[in-house]
Amino acid sequence: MVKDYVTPIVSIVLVCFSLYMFYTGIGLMMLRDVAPSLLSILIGFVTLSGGITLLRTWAIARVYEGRAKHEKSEEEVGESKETG
Amino acid sequence: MILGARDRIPLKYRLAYLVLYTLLIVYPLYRIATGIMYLPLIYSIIVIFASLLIILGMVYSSSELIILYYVLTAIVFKVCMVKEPSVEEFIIYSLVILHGDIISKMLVYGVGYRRIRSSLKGALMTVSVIFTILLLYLAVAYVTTGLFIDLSDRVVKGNILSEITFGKILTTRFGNLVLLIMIILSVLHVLSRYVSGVISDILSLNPVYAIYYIRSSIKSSWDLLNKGDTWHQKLLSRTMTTFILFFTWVLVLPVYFIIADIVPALLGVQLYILSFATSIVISAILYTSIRRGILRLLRQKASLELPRLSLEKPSSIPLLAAIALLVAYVVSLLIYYKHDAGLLCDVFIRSLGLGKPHYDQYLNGVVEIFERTYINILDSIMEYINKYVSCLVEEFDWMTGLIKSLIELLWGR
Repeated sequence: MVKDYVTPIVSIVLVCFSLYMFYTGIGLMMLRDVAPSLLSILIGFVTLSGGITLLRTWAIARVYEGRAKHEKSEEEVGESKETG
Repeated sequence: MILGARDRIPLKYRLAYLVLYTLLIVYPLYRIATGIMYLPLIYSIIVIFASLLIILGMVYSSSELIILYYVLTAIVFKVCMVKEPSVEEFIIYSLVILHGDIISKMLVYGVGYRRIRSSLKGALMTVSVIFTILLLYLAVAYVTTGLFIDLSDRVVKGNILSEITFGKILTTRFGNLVLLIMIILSVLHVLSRYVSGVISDILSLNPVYAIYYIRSSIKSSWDLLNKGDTWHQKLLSRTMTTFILFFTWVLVLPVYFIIADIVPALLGVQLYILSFATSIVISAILYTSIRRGILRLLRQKASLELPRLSLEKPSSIPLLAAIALLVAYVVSLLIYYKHDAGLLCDVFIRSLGLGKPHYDQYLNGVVEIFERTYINILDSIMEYINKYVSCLVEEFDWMTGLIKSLIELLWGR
């Protein structure tokens, strides 16, 4: 149960961290601290794209898992009909 | 009742028909002849020539050509501002010739009172149908005449864009007439193709056959629309293309004027040639896409399919690109800070929002240069947009003035 939900929680944390980095970057640029502001915006982009890729991979994996289970249960029903 | 099967009709009936028909057109020809003396030389020659054709050859062939002759003469008289005969008179003459044609055919080719009475109902029906269509036909010619008269006046007043787009055609009255003849011929073709067949069926009082004829003519015209082979189709498509071309040129030309402000070498003939070439390309693309779109829309069968979800592994290219950009930035910072790791760590701590922000004068100067350039570009874009909009507003004012004068022409002040 725990394994199923670690990935989405991590991806959500990454997305929230990216939002924080964007906010910091804008604040630093307003105070004219150019180099850290650009660095924080770039870190924000990296964490945002990482978080979203992770979330999508998790969702697709869940769909395939569900399909595999469905097919397996159908096979079992077919076998039991043959033997019965 | 035999209508139009000339070979089987005896000569005396055909002569009688000819005499009756000639009597019908004598008075209108006399009225036109009295009006000719007020026309300029070239137009009076054209009208006389057309009248001779009517008298010698056209009388026996088709009433539609006579109506065309009346309409053209009415337009010539209107353009040259000759008061008598007026447009209303020409309308009456056209009605007379249409009904005279039918009535004289019935009188001459039919034998006996019973034949006339059985076709009277059909004749009454044709009155209402022909009257509506003729009004439409004359309204189109009348409105386009007024339009071209006013356009010529506008060209004389010196609106430069309209002079470029319309003026070369409309500075001459002969150019006006040529364009009008094109429009009138296409209207005539539509009328003769679709209307005369229906009218002859209504005359023979067979509604089933009339419906079949309408349906088959619609289907055949639909096939022709897809193929585009008839001269009528070609004429319409070329008129549409020309219209789109001039419309595009009016829109594209101000852009080239703005470019010519920046690049003075473009001024002169090259400007007009380039703008015309661009508008040819754009109008060709526009016309083909509009035509394709309309055909696709009409051929489409209603099908609502939901888009399918794609269950492929998501691409990691955006993530890799962001990481690459970050690494490149860190390397450039290292170079900027002369490989001082302490300064880089300080930057990293500040970027997380954990340190006190510093003010870097050099980098700030670079940022200010970017800001100033961006604001200048925006200002100049606004300036160009304003110029373009003022050109369009001028054209719009001209168009509304034209419509206003057209309304005054039709209905008076």
